Amino acid sequence: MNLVSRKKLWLFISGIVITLSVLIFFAGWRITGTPLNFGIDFTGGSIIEISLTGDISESQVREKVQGLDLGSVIVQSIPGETAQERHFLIRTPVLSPDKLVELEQEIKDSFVGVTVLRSEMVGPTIGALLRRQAVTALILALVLIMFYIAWRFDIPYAIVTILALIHDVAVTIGAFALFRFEINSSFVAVILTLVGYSVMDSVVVLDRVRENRKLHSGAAFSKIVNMSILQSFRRSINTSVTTLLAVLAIFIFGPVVLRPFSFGLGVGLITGSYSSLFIISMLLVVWQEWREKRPRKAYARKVNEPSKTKSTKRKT
Amino acid sequence: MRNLNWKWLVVLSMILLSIIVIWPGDPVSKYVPFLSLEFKPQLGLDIAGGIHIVLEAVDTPEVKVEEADVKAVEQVLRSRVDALGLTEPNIYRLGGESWRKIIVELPYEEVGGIKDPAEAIQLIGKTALLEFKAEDGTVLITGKYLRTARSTTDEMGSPAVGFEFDEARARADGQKTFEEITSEHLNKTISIVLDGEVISSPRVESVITGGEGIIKGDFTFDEAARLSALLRGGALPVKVEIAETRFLGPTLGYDYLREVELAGVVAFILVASFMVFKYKHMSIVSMFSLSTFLLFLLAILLSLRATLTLPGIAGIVLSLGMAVDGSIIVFERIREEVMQGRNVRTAVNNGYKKAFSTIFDSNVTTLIGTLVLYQFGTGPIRGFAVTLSIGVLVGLFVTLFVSRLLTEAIGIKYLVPRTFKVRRQ
Repeated sequence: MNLVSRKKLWLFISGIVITLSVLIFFAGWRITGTPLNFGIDFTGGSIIEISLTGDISESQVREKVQGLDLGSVIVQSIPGETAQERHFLIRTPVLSPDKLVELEQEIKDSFVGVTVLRSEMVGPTIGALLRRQAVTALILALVLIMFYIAWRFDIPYAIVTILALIHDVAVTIGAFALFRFEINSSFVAVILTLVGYSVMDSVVVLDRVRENRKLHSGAAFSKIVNMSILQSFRRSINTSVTTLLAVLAIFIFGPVVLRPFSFGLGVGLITGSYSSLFIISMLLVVWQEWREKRPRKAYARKVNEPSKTKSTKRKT
Repeated sequence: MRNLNWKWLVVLSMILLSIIVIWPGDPVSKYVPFLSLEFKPQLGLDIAGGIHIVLEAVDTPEVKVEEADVKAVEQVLRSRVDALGLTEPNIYRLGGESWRKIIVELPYEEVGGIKDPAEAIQLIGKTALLEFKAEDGTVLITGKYLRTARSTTDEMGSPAVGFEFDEARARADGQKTFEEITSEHLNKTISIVLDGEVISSPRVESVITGGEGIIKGDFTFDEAARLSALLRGGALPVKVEIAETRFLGPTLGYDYLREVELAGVVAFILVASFMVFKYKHMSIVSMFSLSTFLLFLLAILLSLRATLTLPGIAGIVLSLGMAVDGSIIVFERIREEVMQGRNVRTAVNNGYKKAFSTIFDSNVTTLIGTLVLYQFGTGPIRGFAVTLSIGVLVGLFVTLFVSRLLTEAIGIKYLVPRTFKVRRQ
């Protein structure tokens, strides 16, 4: 099977998916006013989750809360444990501790059997800090990984790996834009984990390429890449499946609060293994062919030969 | 295979040690006095419940915040929380660009003393600046010179706050000053103001020499007790804003815990079944390594007293899926070697040898991600970074050492030939 000969198809598929991600991102922005469903960790605001007894509807709770004049209030009912006990999520702009006490008092006075299950308030400065930290963390991780790959493999390998990672991150963000899962502080964990995992997958393929070049130094580069993909195919799929099974278990059986987290990891795993098998290697081939077309001797040699140290030594 | 024996000894004693660490209660100290190996899982606030407050010292036109101020705020918060009767709070300053921030964490059992978390948050963030003001509004004396305060009753038996000014000390004499004030303002009213709000405006009927007095107000007993606790702790030296609060009740977190545990069990079963399905007899090896992996990981996390947060446990489940990756890489290598016609022993040896650099490189990249995450994350997310990176390291050890040992012991003879359908040569 010659996968490399269809490289345009594989890259085309990724191109479509990325274009779709970008489109969804901006379409969502137009329709809902925000590109992603940012949680209070990023936007600032307050959330209170309460349980109460009796057959109370969302609008009854909303009515009481709106009477307090707290700004835009969202009341959402969540399935509780029993029919008599109902759970509600109340989301408001940032509440001062005094206002929070007032709100809780109002609810306790209005309804029966009220328990505050959790309450969260995130001020506006935290959100800004978190955004800045998230971006810094992502860039730092990408740079470190790039250096590591460049050191263990070669610079072209590092560049295609980073391209594949940007691809994975873009697709994952697109999925979040489509399904409107909440972006909270664990989103940073999702992105960094999927970056780490996706590289792990890619390394296996790259490692094969490196090894095969030593073994078959005469063969064409595209042949070597094709061979390497086929050899790592089964294990790449299998390792992704096992991790995906673990993520799936968390998504289905784990707590609701972890759902955005496991969703992100799941999407990241799938796109990560696709990019490891079909993007990185194809980009390497494209890179190589491009180099061969406009031959700057020293560089072409560098990519073609497994041991670059020799060629550089000869020069000095 | 003489060196096989010591390796097995290492693995088996590690397994034994892990079981002892994980075993609930303290099995060892029963038999060996003075040796306690009891490790209780430390559950994060996102499971056990509690209050997490981030306070930030902010500049005002009068005062620019310096590091010493933040330290002073930390000190006041500490004594304030103590005065509220909470014995095991976790109070710390953040470093780096968040140096103005202080985190107060109160586990739920501790908060039990306060009926209402919202009120606890309100109390902790209060400036608690007590001022005695003259009729024209000039500040006569502040709570800074108080020695103590306690809840008491007035002559009518209603709740009130009793206070006592400090004796002569190096910086100022509270008692003396208060005596002067009361003699100057005899038969005039003085306002007692807390954080800009007038609590009461009593008339000075006599000169007070001992520095003692009471604040009457429209208090309940609870309010009087809380106010005196606040006054005992002292006022915050700079303006403090509440940047973030998180409260979790005791029930929801344990529901989450049960669900994530169930997810872990399901994940284990799914991954194990997949291995049985794909790798037939060889899955015995991966099953054994998966079990030892879990055992070692939990034992290490417990003995490091790592705090288990919800994302942290998700990290354990995730690393379960990733731990078998090593096995799969090796098994596939062995399969290739066997297909190329090598004999089983060489295939196994080559499999592990060739898989090494792959497994090593791929784990390093995962570690890079988790280390960056640890650096930037806080609280629960840090827990995830910790469990995942320890998980990756333990997985590495288990694949390269434990699983290899078992493959060499029974794999070469029984498992590999059956799995990959080759005759032993």
